[in-house]
This record gives sequence, structure tokens and C-alpha cells, in this order.
Amino acid sequence: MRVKNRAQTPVEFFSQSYRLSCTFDARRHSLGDLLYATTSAYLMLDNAYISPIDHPSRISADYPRVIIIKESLTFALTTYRDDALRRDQKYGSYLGTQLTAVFITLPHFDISGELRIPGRFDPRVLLSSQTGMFITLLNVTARLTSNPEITYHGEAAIVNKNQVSFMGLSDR
Amino acid sequence: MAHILIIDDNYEILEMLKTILGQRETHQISLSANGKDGLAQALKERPDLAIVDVMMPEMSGYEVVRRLRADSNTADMGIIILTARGQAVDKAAALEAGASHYMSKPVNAQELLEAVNKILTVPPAQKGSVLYPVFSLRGGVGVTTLAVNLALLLQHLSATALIDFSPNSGHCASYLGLRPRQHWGQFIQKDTDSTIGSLTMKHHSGLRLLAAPPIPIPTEQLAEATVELLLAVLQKYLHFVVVDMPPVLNSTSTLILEKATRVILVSGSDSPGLQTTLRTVQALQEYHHKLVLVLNHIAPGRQLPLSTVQRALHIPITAQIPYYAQEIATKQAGAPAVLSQPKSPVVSNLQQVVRTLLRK
Repeated sequence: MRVKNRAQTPVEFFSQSYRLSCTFDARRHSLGDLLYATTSAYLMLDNAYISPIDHPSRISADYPRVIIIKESLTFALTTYRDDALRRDQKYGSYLGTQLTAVFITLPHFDISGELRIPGRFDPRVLLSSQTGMFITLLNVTARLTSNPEITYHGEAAIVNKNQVSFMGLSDR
Repeated sequence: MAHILIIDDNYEILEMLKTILGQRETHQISLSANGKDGLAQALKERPDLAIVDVMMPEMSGYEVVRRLRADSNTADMGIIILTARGQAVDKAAALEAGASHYMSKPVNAQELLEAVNKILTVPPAQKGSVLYPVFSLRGGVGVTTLAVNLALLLQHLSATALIDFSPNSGHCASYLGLRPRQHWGQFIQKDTDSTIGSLTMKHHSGLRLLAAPPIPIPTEQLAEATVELLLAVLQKYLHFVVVDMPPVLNSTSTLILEKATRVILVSGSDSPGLQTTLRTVQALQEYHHKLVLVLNHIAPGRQLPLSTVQRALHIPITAQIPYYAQEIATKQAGAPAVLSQPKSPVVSNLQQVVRTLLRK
């Protein structure tokens, strides 16, 4: 039997061709903390079940432990917001935070969600000036481009900025 | 108290569900930590309900569910898929695999209890169309008598229809003390604008009867499409549909056997009856997993030992119906044994058949 402790949190990772459902140990760090960390280029995760993205319910392989290369990820999806937010994202800002509706295209996926940005929102800063590899979206719906009936929902997604081709922004 | 098997590779989930279902609700709980062992345990123990995780090494929960549904012994077992994969595609996959219900982790104890109780109290018919043809290729072995009594027993549980598919002036109506004013012959002869539902007659027990035409009709008039439509309509509105089958193996009877949840194969206990049953079992090899064999003693006197009969037929005998001297009287009175002699050995043995059909 695979031992999972109370801190094992489920998460879905998506690459260009695969859906990977697994758990990570959230006792000390959230998924956001782990993905945004620049000290490591990979993640070690437990109990991984892999499906092709066009047959997302078919489990084609499973491994008790996997390594994920961060830069190859398209996005990661969590059921609960707090699992995805970095420690500093969980708190408010002196400048206040605003939610901005966004639409993002990625290889094989498009994602609708909200960006929570402290202070004034500047997309140029978000995509080019900020050094982090990822951006966090809230209240996310990801749709498989080739089969829009296949959708994924989560309270939060962490998206690889390098995989983004278009970003649509609401003017509200 | 029900028997619930929990299959999950997560030790904490197993313990949590055991506490919720075994201590709070006092169900009998079995645990299994992987899909392969869980499947073997389910096939062996045949619990009332299985709660199955999806993501398990060696065999996924979907595969466990598919194999349970493919086995006649567990085909109508209640199954809840409980998985951390909580997307719409996962729910669709779980239901497509054959799960009765889908829940995503983390699970709320109250919601789980509600789902478990709902599945355990719902008659099996609501888990899918339930069709029980009563069949023999030898006439005079008591098929109609058994079909009528089984339908009445099922009616005690939930809304049931009995269809008399005999083209030769069937007897279900008279056995129930009804006059077949409406019958399926009116539907195929299109001499009425009535709907299929209005062609059924309601017995005082609540049982709906779709009677056979009182005047025999050529069998080819009962086309496969008509049978399919009649079954579809009745199965849509009633939980159980029992069919009194004519003793022939033609295209319409094959269609009914294909659609059947279980086939109650009735055998006479005399040598010619057993011979016919043996050959029928061979002819119905394709439906072997659905067969529920009932040995009906239609004449008094010494019978062959059951072990001898069992050896000859190569199929387990689910129940023996003892000779019932008052049978003719109950037919004449239009009061089948289930209603007129509910404590008789005949009825208690028929209840055994019903328990087998319902997996209870």
C-alpha cells in the first residue's frame, strides 16, 4: 500500500501531451511555493497517474514517484486556492488587490480565469519584467482546444508563462 | 446492516470510511488496499456495495468496476467511485465504466452517507433496466405460473410489469383473475389509438399486465421492432419487467434474451424435461452468465436426486419449486400462490429466486 499522509494534496499537471494526477506534500510549502522557487528546476511528486490529454480518463501509466521538469509544464491545476498560492500571495497588499479576467492560450489548451494582482495591473510587467516562470490564475476553466467538451475546473492554476501564446484581458 | 467493501490504496481513507460506515452506521466493512485484490474480494464476498478509488497501482478503479459489471454475480452491485480526480471527464468516465455513483475527494461524511444509503435502499431496477424473462423450450413445465408469481413477488418491492408474450392465447391474465380486454395484439394490429401504457391492465396488487391476444396470431406478426418498443416503454416507467416467454427460440425471443438482466430458465424435473433443459443450456451458451435455473416439480412422486440432476445439467440450480397440489385450484380462482398461500414452500422457494435476482 502506498502511504499517504494527511498533508498529501492532490494536484493535476498538464504538459503538451499528458495529464498527470498526483499528490504533493503540502506540510511546509504550497504548490505555488514549490513551483515559483527558483532554486530548483524540478518537482518530486508522489503517486502519479498519467493520461493522454485527448483521453483524460484513461490511465496509461502510474508511478509511485515522479519528477516534473518545471519548464516543460503547461499548467498545474488545484481544487483549492490555498494549495496554489505562494505564501506571499495569500496575504493582502498595501496597494490592495484587484481581480482581472483573463483568457490565455497554451499548447492544446485555452484557459479562462482571473488574475489577482496587487496594485495597478500592467500586463507588460506581468509577462516580461517579472522574473518568475509562472503566473497564478484563480477560478479557472481550462478547455482542450481540439475537443472543447473536455474541460477542467479548479480554484487555481499555475501557468507556465513561457508556454503562453496569447493573453486576452478584460478592460473591466 | 449492509456489507460494504472499500477498495483504496490510501490507508487513511480506508480507516476514515471504515469509521464512518462501520461505526456510525454499523455496516459490515471489508477493506482492500489495491484494485486487483479488491476485485477478487468483491467477486468472492459479493458485498451489497463497493466504494472504489480510481487511482490505484496495477489495476485502476475503472477496470475494477468494468470487471464487476461484467460478472453476473456482481453485475448489479452498488458501486461508488471515490476519487481525487474530480473533473467532469472523470465523473463521465466513472459512470461510463458502470459506477452507480461518483464522488470526488475530499469526501464529506454526510454526503457519503447519503449516497450510500440511497444506493442501498434503491431497488436494483433503478440502477438500470431490469428485465427478467421466464423461459423454457419445453411447454407445460410451469413457466407461466412461475412468471406470474415472480412478478407478484417483485411487485411487493417495486412497480412491476408482466408481459405475456405467448402468441397462442396466453394465460397470465386468467391466472391473475383478469379478463384480457386490452392486449399487445391491439398494438401490432393497430386497431386502437391506445398507448402501450393504456394497453396494460392493473391487477389489484398493483402489478401491470400486458396480456397476450385472446385469439392466437401468427408468430411473425410479433416483429422484433415491436417487442423492442414494448419493452422500452414498460422499462421506462416500471422498475421490473417480467416476461412470460413462449417456448420457442426465434428472433424475438433471442432479442429478449439479449436484453435480459437475468434469464429464469425453468426446467421440468422428469427425464424429458431435463433433457430439454440440457440442450437449451447448450443452445443458450452465449447467455450462460445470465441464466438462473429453477427446477420445477410439476408432478408428485419420487424425484431424481438433486446431485444427479445438477451433474447432468452442468449449471447450478438456484431453486427447486416443490410439487404444489393446490396449483390448479389457485389458477381457477385467479389467486396465485404468492397471494393465496404466501407461507407455502412454493412461495418461500420463489423468494429464493427473487433474492438471487436481486443479489440480496
